[in-house]
Amino acid sequence: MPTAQPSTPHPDYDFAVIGGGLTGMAIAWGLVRRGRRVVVLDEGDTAYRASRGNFALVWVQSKGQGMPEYALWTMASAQRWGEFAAALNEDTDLDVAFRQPGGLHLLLSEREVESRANALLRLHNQPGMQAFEYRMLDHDAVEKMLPQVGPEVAGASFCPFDGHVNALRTLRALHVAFARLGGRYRPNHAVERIEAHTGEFRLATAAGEIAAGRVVLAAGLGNARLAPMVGLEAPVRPQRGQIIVTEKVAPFMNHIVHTIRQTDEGSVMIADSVEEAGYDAAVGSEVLAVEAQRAVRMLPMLARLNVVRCWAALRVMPKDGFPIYDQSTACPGAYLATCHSGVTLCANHALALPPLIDAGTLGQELGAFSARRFHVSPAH
Amino acid sequence: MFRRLTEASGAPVAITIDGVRVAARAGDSVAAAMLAAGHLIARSTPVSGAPRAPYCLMGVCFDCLVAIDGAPNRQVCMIPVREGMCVESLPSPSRIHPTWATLDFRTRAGPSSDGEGGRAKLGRVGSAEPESRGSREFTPPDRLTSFGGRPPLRGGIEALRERYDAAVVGAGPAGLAAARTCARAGLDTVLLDEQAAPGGQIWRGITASPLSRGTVLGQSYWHGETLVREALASGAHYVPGATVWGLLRQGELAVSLAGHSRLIAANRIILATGAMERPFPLPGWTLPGVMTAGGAQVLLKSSALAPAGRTVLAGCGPLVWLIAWQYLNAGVQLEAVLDTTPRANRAHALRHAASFVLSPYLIDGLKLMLAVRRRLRVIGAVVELAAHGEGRLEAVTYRTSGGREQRRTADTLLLHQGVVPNVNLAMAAGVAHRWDAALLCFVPVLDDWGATNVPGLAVAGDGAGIAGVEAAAARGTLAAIGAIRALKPGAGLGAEEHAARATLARYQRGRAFLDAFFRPSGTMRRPCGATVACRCEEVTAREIVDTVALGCPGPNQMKAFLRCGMGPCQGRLCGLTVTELMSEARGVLPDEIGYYRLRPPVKPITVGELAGLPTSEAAMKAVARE
Repeated sequence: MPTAQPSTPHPDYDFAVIGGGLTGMAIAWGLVRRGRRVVVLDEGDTAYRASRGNFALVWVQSKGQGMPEYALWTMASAQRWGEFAAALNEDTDLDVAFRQPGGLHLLLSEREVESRANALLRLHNQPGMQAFEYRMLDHDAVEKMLPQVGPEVAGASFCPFDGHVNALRTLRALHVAFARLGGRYRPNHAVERIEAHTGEFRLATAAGEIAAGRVVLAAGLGNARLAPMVGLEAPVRPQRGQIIVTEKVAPFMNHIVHTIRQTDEGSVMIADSVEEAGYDAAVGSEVLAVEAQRAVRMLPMLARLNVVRCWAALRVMPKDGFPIYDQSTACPGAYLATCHSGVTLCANHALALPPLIDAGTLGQELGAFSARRFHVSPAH
Repeated sequence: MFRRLTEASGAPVAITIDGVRVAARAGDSVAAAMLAAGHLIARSTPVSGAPRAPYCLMGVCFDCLVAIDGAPNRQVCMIPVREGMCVESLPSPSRIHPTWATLDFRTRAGPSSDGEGGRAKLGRVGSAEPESRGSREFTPPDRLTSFGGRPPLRGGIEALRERYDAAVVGAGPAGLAAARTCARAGLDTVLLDEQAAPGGQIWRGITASPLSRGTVLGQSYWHGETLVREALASGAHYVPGATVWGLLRQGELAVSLAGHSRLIAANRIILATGAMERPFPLPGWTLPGVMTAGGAQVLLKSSALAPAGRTVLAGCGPLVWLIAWQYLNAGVQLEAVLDTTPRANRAHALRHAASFVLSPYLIDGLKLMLAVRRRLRVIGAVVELAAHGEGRLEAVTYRTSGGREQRRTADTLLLHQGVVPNVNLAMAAGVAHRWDAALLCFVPVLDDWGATNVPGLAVAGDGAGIAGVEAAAARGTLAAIGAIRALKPGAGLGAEEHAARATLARYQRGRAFLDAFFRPSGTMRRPCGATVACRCEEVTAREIVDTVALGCPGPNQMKAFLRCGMGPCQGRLCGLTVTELMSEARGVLPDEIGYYRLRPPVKPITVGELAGLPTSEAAMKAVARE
């Protein structure tokens, strides 16, 4: 076992989890449920926080091109989301509104339909891929499922495993559940330095030093800086996404659209932009305009709803788009988790990952997701 | 509940409210017409289904949302009546969500809706005609053109130019002074204002007020006419009904007018978006029948409307005395004035008394307070206050320091505890703000010219910090001179600058006394328990404070947890409450707590409007990926 033994120095915590977003909190909650003493070290109120800016889909249908393991991992999380939501509900009485009505990826031209069909075929034809149910639909079939679709919608791909959730309430529920089980949350504790000592890690933070037996890096974009301090790497970059939110209206969407969904509270969210803009999280009118245009072409009724809010947030995008899970050989007891699908994978991060981290067997189970993949030469 | 003080109002305009024909007057907002017709309830909330009525009357609260000509959720305090207009209040049949999505778009389609099944062919994307906001052309009130000068913009938003030398946002004292000064110096100037007529809130209705001069509002109100005249005659391009909903890239303004949005550019931008009333989060403040005193004053100024039933005025600040005095002039009876000004303020204010002796506000202020005290029942040192009623206000309870709880039956409760800068547009534009401990609010960080940390952007008027009407105009002039000198090096204006600085100094003298004397009490600013702090999302004070125990360091994490501040008012009516509550709970200064992160659009626009904005190749690639 590469686990550090809490011997001579006796740190206050078994685990320090760096990052209080969905990924960090899910892992921290999973560990504290296993009886571990856990502290979460977080930044302040205005941190870049993908967990507060995401689109809140639990999305399966298009994930995994280039890495079938990721498709499996995604499907596993989608299938455990119900269990996860129920556990949170039991611990907190909060309903995170997980629903799995199936998702439509709407397509606005025959060219888009063809390209989409080919992409899904390629995904399913990969060696090692486990097939899952999806269908290509024409306009009339889409209209049966979503009567509000506009005449420009040429078709859609549909997958019954796609769902969505109230991601903000999930973040809150994780915080509540974590606190109720005795976990310690420390905001304004941005981690500046990590030092591995015998039997413990010492973390220098903006508000003093914290010692813990083991450490989990779940700091999103911050992992890129922190990982080398414990002999790991996390090649992640910010990728901007912009979101439009409308006033609340009566429930009208029976299904979710990959770029349009109605929240349990009634707002309609519109999104799906990807920009390489560094750490600039400002909204831009051109992108918002294109998002609005496509949304109105998909569901013309949206044109007359009031937009009450727009925002931009930064995705945590690994170099190849796939999650990175790792444990350090140089500094045993240091683990890392980072991905851009923190909502979809949240059930895994809460239920599947903590036992592996606790047992120190991350490498065996999730070896495909190690950052070592970035160094495998094509010849091998 | 509201009656007209004079029949000598504008020309009759017929509208229908929930199917009933109502005679309104030209110059009325739809809200004024509704209240004059006895139609109090505008909508029920999408959270609890509770009924709501117009509260602020100046575009801040978003409680007066109704459907106009088939388009849901229009803010009626901002929309002038138009012949034949069809107004429908928005009752919520399910207590969860109003049914407007389905109701409006599919079964109760308005005059130019998408057609039977919502499947009719759309024209150009985003060209769906939001008839909600009327025709594309904004019709200013009748009497405005008689004010001389260039007629206001005709032809809707298309008539705006691509670029101006200077853009001024807001046509109150600061904006009027800024636009006048810029235009007189030869700058190509546009003056964009959300209201239907110039004057801001302080001179609201000045070009069309049905009240006769000098009798009700007092002489100082009518002093505004000079500046309005000068600004309109200055050559500045005045655009009423234009909402600036964002400052995007440097020097770019996003403007919405009559349901259409455009981006225009300006080399220099001066924000003069003024002040709004400080939130007054007391138990029951969301009940229909509770309204801000400033809102009631707007109704008085622009439509000669005054409350008709039993009316209680409560709070703290100069406006409480001013409106009580104006009502006395108009023969409107108030049941009582409940003064919530803490007694201890007097001692604190005394330290600044020496400078206040020189203040131009001293004599007028004292006269006003004495006149009101002589003729009205003023109950001082009120330390607890609450509104009660089932579905609407029925009674007000209060307790004075050391006294027992008293109860008064009331139809209308008017609330006020000072004004604070309306920061949303400036904050969303990235302007740095700081907490002002004397004013108890965030103010922009500015230099002597009103310039901000954002290049080319200045803030003037009460939006820069509360200092009153004369100081606002002086700051408008100074911001304009700053802009002129930046664009025309060598421009003189030394005399104008000197005069403006002298006015500013004169009217800032004694401000510290006023701020200390009228400092609202902590218990009235920081609610507790089940009192609603966020009107839009109906979040209580206790819930907010509980998130601190959960580790929320500031408003943004708290907002994610509770949705507090996420409604259509975008935190205007809970932001300061939240900062102060979290500051107290965490034991740190408000500056450390901070404020909501705000972004455009700072006022709601439709998805269709957004879709009509220009795009780019890069933006298309960023969204429609294959």
